[in-house]
Amino acid sequence: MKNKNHSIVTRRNFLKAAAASTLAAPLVITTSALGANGRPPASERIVWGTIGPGNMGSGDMNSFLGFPEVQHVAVCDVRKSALERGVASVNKKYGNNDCKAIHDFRELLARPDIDAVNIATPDHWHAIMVVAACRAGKDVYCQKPESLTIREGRAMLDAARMYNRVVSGGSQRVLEDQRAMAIKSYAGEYGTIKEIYVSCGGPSWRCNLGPGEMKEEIDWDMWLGPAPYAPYHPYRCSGTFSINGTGWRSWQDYSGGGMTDWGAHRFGAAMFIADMRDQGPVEVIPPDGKDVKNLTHVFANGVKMYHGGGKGDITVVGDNKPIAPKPMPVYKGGGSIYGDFVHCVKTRQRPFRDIEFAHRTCTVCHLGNIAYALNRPLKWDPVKEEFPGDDQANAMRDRARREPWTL
Amino acid sequence: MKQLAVRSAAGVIGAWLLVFAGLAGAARGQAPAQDLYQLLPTIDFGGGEDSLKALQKEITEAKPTEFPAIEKKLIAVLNNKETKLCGQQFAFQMLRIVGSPACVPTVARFLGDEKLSHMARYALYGLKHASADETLRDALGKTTGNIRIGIINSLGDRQDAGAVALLAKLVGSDDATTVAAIRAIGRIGTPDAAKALETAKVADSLAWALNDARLHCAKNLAAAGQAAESRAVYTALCQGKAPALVRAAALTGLARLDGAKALPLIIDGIKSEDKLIRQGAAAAVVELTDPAVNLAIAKELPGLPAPAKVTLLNALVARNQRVGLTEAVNRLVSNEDSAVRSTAALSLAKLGDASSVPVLAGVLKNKDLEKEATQTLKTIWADGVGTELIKKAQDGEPELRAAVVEILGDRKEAQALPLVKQLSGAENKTIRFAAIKALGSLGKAPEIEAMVDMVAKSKDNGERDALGQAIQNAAKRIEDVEGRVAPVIKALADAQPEAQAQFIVILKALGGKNALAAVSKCLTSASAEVKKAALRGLSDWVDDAPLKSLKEMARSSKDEAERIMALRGFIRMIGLPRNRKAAEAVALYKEAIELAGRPQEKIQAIGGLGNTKDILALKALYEQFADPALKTEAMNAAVKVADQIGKKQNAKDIHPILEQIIQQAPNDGIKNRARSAMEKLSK
Repeated sequence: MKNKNHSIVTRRNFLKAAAASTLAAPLVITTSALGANGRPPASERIVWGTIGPGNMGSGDMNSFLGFPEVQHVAVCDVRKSALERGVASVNKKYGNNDCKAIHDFRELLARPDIDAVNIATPDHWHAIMVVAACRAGKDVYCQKPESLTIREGRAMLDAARMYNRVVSGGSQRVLEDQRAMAIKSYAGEYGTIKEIYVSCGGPSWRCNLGPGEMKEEIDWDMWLGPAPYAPYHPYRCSGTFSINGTGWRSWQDYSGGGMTDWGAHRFGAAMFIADMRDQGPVEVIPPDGKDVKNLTHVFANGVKMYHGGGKGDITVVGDNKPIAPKPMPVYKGGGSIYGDFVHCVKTRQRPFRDIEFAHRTCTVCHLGNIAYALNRPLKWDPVKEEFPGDDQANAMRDRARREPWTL
Repeated sequence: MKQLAVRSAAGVIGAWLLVFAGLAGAARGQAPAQDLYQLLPTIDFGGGEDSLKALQKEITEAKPTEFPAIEKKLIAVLNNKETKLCGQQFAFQMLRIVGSPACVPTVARFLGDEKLSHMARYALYGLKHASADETLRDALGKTTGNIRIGIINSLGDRQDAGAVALLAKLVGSDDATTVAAIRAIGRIGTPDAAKALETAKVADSLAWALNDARLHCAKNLAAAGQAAESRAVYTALCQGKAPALVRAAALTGLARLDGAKALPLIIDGIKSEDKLIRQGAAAAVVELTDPAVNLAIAKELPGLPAPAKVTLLNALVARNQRVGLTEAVNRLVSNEDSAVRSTAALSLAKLGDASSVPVLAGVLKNKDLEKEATQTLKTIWADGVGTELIKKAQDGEPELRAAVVEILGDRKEAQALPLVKQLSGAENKTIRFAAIKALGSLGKAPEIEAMVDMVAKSKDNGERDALGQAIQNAAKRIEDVEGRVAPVIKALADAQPEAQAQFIVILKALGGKNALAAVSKCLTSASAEVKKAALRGLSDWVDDAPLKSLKEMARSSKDEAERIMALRGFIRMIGLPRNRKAAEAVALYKEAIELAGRPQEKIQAIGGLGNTKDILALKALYEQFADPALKTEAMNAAVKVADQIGKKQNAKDIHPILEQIIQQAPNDGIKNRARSAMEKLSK
């Protein structure tokens, strides 16, 4: 199939085109700054935008605002109150009124001066926004759980790789909550890990709330976006962290429930501890009330990862025959997950929670939800990302999106 | 909320009866499935949640042999003109799981429906049958606007090769349709799709979509094994006038296709002055898995311009393959460009080996590379690194040796323990202190004993402090709480006062029953210094074990300074256990306020009440409003508690307190926060 005549771009043409594009490069930032107050000069700053400055988003945004090399220029939300709060935070930080309030994320992504964005919308928007951001040449920090479906996770990963973007998931707990276990594991002290018990909530459920009184200014159609049409109700869209039917984290159309919300942290940590962040299970078995007590992910290397059943957040069971230690991945550039992302934006390295690891973790969570829903053991091909010969389960890898939205 | 929303009174009664029958049946585990299907058309948003849940569970858990019967019932629901939107959505969502070609004609009727087109596509999502594709294609000609865009998107998602020509005809319609059609063709990704995209003409403002589609098409062609076709698309994009982002993406795509053969192109990309092209080339380097390219890269590295060197080094770090590269990177640590030097020094953490130790040690005390060299030497992971570092710690400038000793400790190099022990007695203070610190990282029980002995003998306060910290660090790695403090307790009795004071500091940080007893005993020491250290130790104890004795001292001590220190320790300890019940905490804080003779300690206790999320804390704070010296702090803390616990259910208790704060608070800040907390009471 290979045709050598087709071969390759000539190097001269390639460099010529590259030089031309340099001339056309947009101005990075218009506000003057030559590195005063301990900040790098404007040309070395990362020009930033936030999409979704609500509960988690405001935390993320404020953390990134703390980096001298970050220059925040725009905030986007479909909720007026969140948008105003977000813009006010940025302006307060810089002591000016330069931050732009944007209603539609597409407008923010269309700005050529913006280098990176952090996204903390409800989960049903993550994939569309991350893919669009990559296509627009932005690096992305996306809150966990990064995806709502398995295919979305794959699309995010593919977009990151296609456009050479740095895309970090947003779970600080993978490294920070279970650091002691990770250190022990990478030091070889567990020996060969055989089982891991992971504690997190269960699947989301169907939302059938009727119309509720709208006491806030919100663009409801845009909030729903790719999700099925439903009437506004405050409990449908509240960003509460509680998963008890009072916010979007409870509902299937917008979230995978506690399974993805906390599972993104804790399955992520378990896979990190076991050094399996780039892997996926080959079988998922729901509890049967008899022999199988907990939903079980079986990996090709024989490791079994259970949903629940341990003594704490995570319980690791090894054979306790010490094995050779190996280097433990940590945040690059030192500091936090935010510093890790900023460092990687500058160096083009892959962040600690690279989108591939995030996708693998979220896939484990989605597989758990699918196995619970179908209530039968499922075979999974982690390379092809499909349930071999199982049309019913395969249909649950993704959903059609409400028009006009697509990945 | 779980009531059915029905429009007529008769409907309300009828629906309630049906739901009641269904839910009651479900509660008994006898819900006849047929009843739930009959209910479905009547269910609207705001009702029937339990019925939907039960039916969803039944359908998702059904065996494939049951699918045709379920499908038939769902089709009937969709064919029922009385079925409400919610029931229709549900039926479509379940057809995604059990649907077959039999449902396609019914689903097709809804593809043009503004409210249900999306859900009809939802049903067809997983249906691997030509009839689903044909139906979607057919719907293209019968729809417009967003509905048609949704159908286009679904054809793209299904990678329907048969839709390429139809989609190509839509290019040139309105912008949104054109973009959707182009991108769908890209996702379909066949050779025909590639041709369609090659000839597609779009406005400049839509070029991004065409470029994106072509990249997707090339990627899909490669995945399907059609490398030549894929390469042609990537090559055209690389050579064309596409933006740098797209050309960089095409470059990476080519590198994925060609692997090591693409190295010359990648190196050219690395040299580019365009940031995006460099990024694309760097990403391609990361994905070069063939170790054979290492030598070629090592050969290129020295001749690259400085920015290209930095880009390539970072990419090599991400790639994490060191064989054949270390020597070239070692050399760059002394490069003339500071960014290159710094990046090279950091890169050696992944790309270095034992040969990098002398190189990095050589710049360890250079101002501009000290941080990078230290960080790298702490984390570099290769055979022989520890041995090389031990050599460096034995000879040379004292400052350098001390830095290396600290690094050995941070690396937890067990093999360095004998040397570190030896150097902890070194004459040179810098080396000695570094070795003591490293002992804290490496030492076990025997080293703790040795350090305890050193504390007893030391005449230097700074050294005693360093040893104390090292003992704590080493002891904290030992799980046996009583065993780890035994040597310290043993040495405590006979030590000089200065050493005793240090031992107390160690014991209060490590805790345990025996440690508490030993430090408590020191309260009766003849030495005022030791006595004071003991009280300070108890007040600052690692947990709340001394709470009762401190309370007693705060109550009965005749020495005012001693009484105050005990009281402050007592107040601190109330808040230590996170699981202390609020009622107990509040009672203790109230006791503390009573015991306090001056406002400072009362304010400390008020601060503790402010961290106690309970109505009892709020009431205790309210009691302090009358004291002018405490009013501001008490109101401040009260607002904090009210804000955290206030809700509709306890509004009756909280409202009067906030009301008083709003009227009497000494400043607007507190008043405003009280108003904000008041608002929560209505929610």
